[in-house]
Amino acid sequence: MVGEIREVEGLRRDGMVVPIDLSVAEFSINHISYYTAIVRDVSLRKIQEQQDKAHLDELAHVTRIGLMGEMASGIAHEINQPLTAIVSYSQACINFIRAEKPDLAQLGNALNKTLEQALRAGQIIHHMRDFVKSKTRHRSTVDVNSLIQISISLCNSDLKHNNIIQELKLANNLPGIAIDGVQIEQVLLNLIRNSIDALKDLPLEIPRKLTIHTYLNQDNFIECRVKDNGKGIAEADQEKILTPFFTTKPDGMGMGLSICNSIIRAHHGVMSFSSYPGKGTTFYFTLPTQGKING
Amino acid sequence: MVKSCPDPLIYLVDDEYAVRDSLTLLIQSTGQLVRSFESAQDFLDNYNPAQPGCLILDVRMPTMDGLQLQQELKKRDIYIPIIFISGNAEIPDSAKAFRAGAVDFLEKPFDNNLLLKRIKEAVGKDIDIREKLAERRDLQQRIDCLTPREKEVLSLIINSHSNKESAKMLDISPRTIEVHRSRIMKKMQVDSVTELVAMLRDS
Repeated sequence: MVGEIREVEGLRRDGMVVPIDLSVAEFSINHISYYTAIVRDVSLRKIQEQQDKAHLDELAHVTRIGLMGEMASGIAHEINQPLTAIVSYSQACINFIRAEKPDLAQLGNALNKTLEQALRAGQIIHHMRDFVKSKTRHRSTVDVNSLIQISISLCNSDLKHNNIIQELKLANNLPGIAIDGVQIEQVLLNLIRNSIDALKDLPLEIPRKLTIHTYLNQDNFIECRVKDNGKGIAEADQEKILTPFFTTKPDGMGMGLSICNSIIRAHHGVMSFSSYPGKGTTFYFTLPTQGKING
Repeated sequence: MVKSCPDPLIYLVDDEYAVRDSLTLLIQSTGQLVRSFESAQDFLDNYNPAQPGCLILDVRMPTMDGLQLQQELKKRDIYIPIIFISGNAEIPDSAKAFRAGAVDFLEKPFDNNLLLKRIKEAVGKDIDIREKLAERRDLQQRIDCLTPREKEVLSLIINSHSNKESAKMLDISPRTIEVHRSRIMKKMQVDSVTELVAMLRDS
């Protein structure tokens, strides 16, 4: 415990429990070891941190609503597919019933499929609602891979429309971690959509590839990489890309990546990227698997 | 001209399984033949030009989308009538499709009765096109049997020149024109000049 700062709870004289930082240093004089313990009341810092978090939550929520707006047409397309299937299955059922000797097995089968598609449409809508609902959220144990699957499915129609081949290399040994799933999904959606934008201007003869890779790195952090072989980020832009209000998109606000960066930092992870103009870009972020996440 | 035609076949191309499966079931429930494909390329590899039918085509698909397939079919001289179905009907897309001769452009989810009606129209259109093409091919074959001189005489006849005028223009005797004329009628399988002119005008 020497040399590190521990967050512990202390009791103040007025009976209030306060958060304190405790650090212990060791030194020796004439071969005798001495210890100094420093105890610091960090209530003020904690309050500040909480305000920062509330502020970030609010900002993330606002940008999330904007993001949903941008994605609305693609999502409508995704909902239209099951609806189309439902309409056709139902009409087929009506036709089956009208037959002289209705084939009940066939009818039952078609009704089951109708049900399945209705649930599928409902799921997309539930998910959308969760995504925009509340700004203050509780962290819960989440499987990062499943967030990736959901994010990809929301971008499906854009990926398809732009002929983008997706490859998911998701490690199966990732522990569930306590995070704000919606915020991390927001990060993923931003990164995926940036990749789509970078890929959609590629000449047709170059296969457009989006790869998402997750693994447990040597520091026991979950690491996620979103990689594309798109046009890359101009070198002059690279140092500005994470700062607020910087954008290279004609209708962009310049908030996407800067919020992503804040979200990852609030989760005690790191976000970074490497990009080579003309070759592609890889964004990656890390999330700790234990301990620290409780803010 | 009555020919025995194989039953019409409805082709369906959509990359979404649920849409393919449900529409297949629906079309089958009306007693029609249907074959579905996951991609434009699959359809191109399996299309049988001998069978009349129509094509229900999704607009948005990976690799080759619906509008690209429409162009590709044109390039290959395949005139199968197309009914487009689309998840988000964007005006430029539908305008493009209609300009290239689409039967209709339906936005998902659509009224199935409308789809079935359009299928009927499209199949009817395809059968018409096929009959016209067959007639034209037939006519062309007959024209191909004519000698160059007979073709010259034929073009004078349809431009309503008399035997005398024609003889003068070609610098041959009216009697020779008569001979050419009767050979032309025989080869073109008609009984009168009126019939001949009508036949050529229609095509």
